[in-house]
Amino acid sequence: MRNLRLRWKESYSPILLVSPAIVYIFFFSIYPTLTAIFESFQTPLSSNTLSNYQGLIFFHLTNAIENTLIVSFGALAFQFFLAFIIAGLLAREFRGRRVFLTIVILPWGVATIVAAFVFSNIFPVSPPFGGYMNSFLALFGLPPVNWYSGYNSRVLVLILSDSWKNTPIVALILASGMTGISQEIYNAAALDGAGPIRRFLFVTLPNLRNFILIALVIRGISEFNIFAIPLVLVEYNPPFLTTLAYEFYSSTSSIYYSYAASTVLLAIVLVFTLVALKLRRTA
Amino acid sequence: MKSLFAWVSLLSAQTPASLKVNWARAHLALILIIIVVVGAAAGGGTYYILSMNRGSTIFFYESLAPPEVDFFQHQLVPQFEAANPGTNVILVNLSGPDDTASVVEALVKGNSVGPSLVGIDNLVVGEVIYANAVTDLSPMLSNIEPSSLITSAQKMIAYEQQVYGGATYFVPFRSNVPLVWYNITAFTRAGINLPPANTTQLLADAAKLKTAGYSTPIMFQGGGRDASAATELYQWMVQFGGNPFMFNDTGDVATFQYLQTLSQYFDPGYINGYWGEYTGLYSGSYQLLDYQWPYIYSQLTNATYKMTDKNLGVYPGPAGPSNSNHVLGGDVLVIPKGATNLPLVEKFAKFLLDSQAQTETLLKLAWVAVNSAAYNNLPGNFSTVGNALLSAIDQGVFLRNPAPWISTWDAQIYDAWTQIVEASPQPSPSQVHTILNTENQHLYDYLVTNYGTQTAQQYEQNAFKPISVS
Repeated sequence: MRNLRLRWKESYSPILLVSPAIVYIFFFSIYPTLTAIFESFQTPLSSNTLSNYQGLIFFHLTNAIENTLIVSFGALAFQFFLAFIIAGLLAREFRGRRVFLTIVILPWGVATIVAAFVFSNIFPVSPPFGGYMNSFLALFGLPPVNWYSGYNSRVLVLILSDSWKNTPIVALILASGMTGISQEIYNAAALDGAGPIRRFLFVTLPNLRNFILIALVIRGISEFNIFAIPLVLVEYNPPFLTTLAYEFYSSTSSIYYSYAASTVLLAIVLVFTLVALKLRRTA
Repeated sequence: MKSLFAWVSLLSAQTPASLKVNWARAHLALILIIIVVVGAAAGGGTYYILSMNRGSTIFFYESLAPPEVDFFQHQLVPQFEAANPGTNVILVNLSGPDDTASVVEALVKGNSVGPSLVGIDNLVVGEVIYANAVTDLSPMLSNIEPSSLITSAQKMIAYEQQVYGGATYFVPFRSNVPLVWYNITAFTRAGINLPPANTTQLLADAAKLKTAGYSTPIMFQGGGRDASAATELYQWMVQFGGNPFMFNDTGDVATFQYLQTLSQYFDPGYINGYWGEYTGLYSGSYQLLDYQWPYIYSQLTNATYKMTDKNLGVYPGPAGPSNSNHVLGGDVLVIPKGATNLPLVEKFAKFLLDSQAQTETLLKLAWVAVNSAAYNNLPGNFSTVGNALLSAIDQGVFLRNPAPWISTWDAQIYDAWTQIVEASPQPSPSQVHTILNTENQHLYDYLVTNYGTQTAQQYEQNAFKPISVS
């Protein structure tokens, strides 16, 4: 009897313990996802079709993918650049560190939609050439800029807005990794003649590899899903996969385009995640 | 029984040292569980009470602007409740017309309609009809419809009865006509005494405003949100003699070529311009707001902006080369399939269409009344905006054909707009033609795939076009 109980405990208890989570994930994640994928191959009359994907190509799917990748990787690069600087400071002890940490974290606590509206005042569409950023430029005698006059400046505004909101989480992850690197390694490297850049490249980066990959996966998936900021600042032009899906989501006829756009986005996120996990395993 | 025993023994098994209970966390977890349980109980209780009261409760789904919500909740609904003791009307305000369509479909699919009445944009009503989500009102029409509907509302009902084989799925509830708004002070400074009467004069006045120092004088609803650009472009194309659904007939092409020229005077914010944009008229970002719904009058003249008839001008807008017809926006009433307590729902619908409620919404919210009795004995100081509305209706109104694929057309016309007007540099006239031809071809292909060849051929033969209701 005792053996039986032990065997039961060992064999089934883990399954019992995780089963609520499995049920939850199945009904609230997997089932809706599979439904959306299935519906992306349906017409309003419930026949099978590839036309939703053809329709998306007509609505500049390739541009949307391109824009999503540009802003995602642009924002990731900018966020990691800033985060390394901030993490470098946070990893040290100095007076006012807690205040600095609080200030750094603040944007992360701001709702994305609020951040988007804040940036719509910094880089306003209307009035033309107004806003805090142009006022700031005017202090240095620089001419005002219409931030939405071209593709590059629109993308720049989106990257800056998104990075303001999301750099803190990257900085925190990197800082937690940096505090775990022994000072002795840096001392040894310095004794061997390594300067700050070489120490960063050959000590900090390799030791942070796992943390970088974790930050990359967390932020990368979120970046591909960037939505509220472009919707508030540029609406559907340039299009992103999320805004393309949103443009079509709420009507009887065009919701199938929305499913198709969501499926494409899911595929990209899955590929990105698999690559990142593979890299992590290699590491 | 065995499994229960195993589970209990599992729980009572000696805990390894590494897993010893952290009591602070345990308390926190307990508090969280209590919050969740109490919250669930409160939610369930509320639902139960609402369910119990369903016999005398009506859910009214609409998509209203904040001042309209306020008027409904504090004036109209109390009037109905006072006249029908024991009745409770719950207004469910939704974010937009597409949202309303989705909610109606969800209610019906979820078999949880209850005693519901829905006010939905006449533009998207075709979607819920196509989705088989609304009730045929024919048997109860005499209980709802007022005897004195305005002509456009009568034609609207006649149109649907013709299209849907005699069925009546909706009755007009409130109408709306977009108007053009301008800053009188700026116009005077630029030497313009009257707003532009036609599109040629509009270009000339825009140039005068620019010369007077107003570098970006015109605001256009050019954003994709809530079909704003699509609705505005639809009217422009009709006024240029086109059939907007076709994209590429002579009038359609002429519209886009004209708007390319006009866009040099646009406020840059036009790329996000939508029905909620009007404050630039007050702040001076632009001096002419091209087509906006009448509700903004109460906003711009409220305590925040304090504009008056001395500096805020409103009129039906410049006539197009072909006509000066206006799109008749607004909502219709539908009853979702499976609605309960129909007598009470009908009573509320009748109340909303009654002359008293219609007069009040005309005077307070500048909604064009669909009950002609609402226009009797209006006060002498009937507002500036009211007069502009009546003048616009006199010039002619039309409906956008509520085809079930209207959202696809919306997305396509917005696509054409971004390629032709928003693009920098803008395409040449021949390229404009090519872009519009491509849009036409795509909609045709879309209809073949999704609605069948017959519908697609009807489309190509101009069967879907604006419905004249004036």
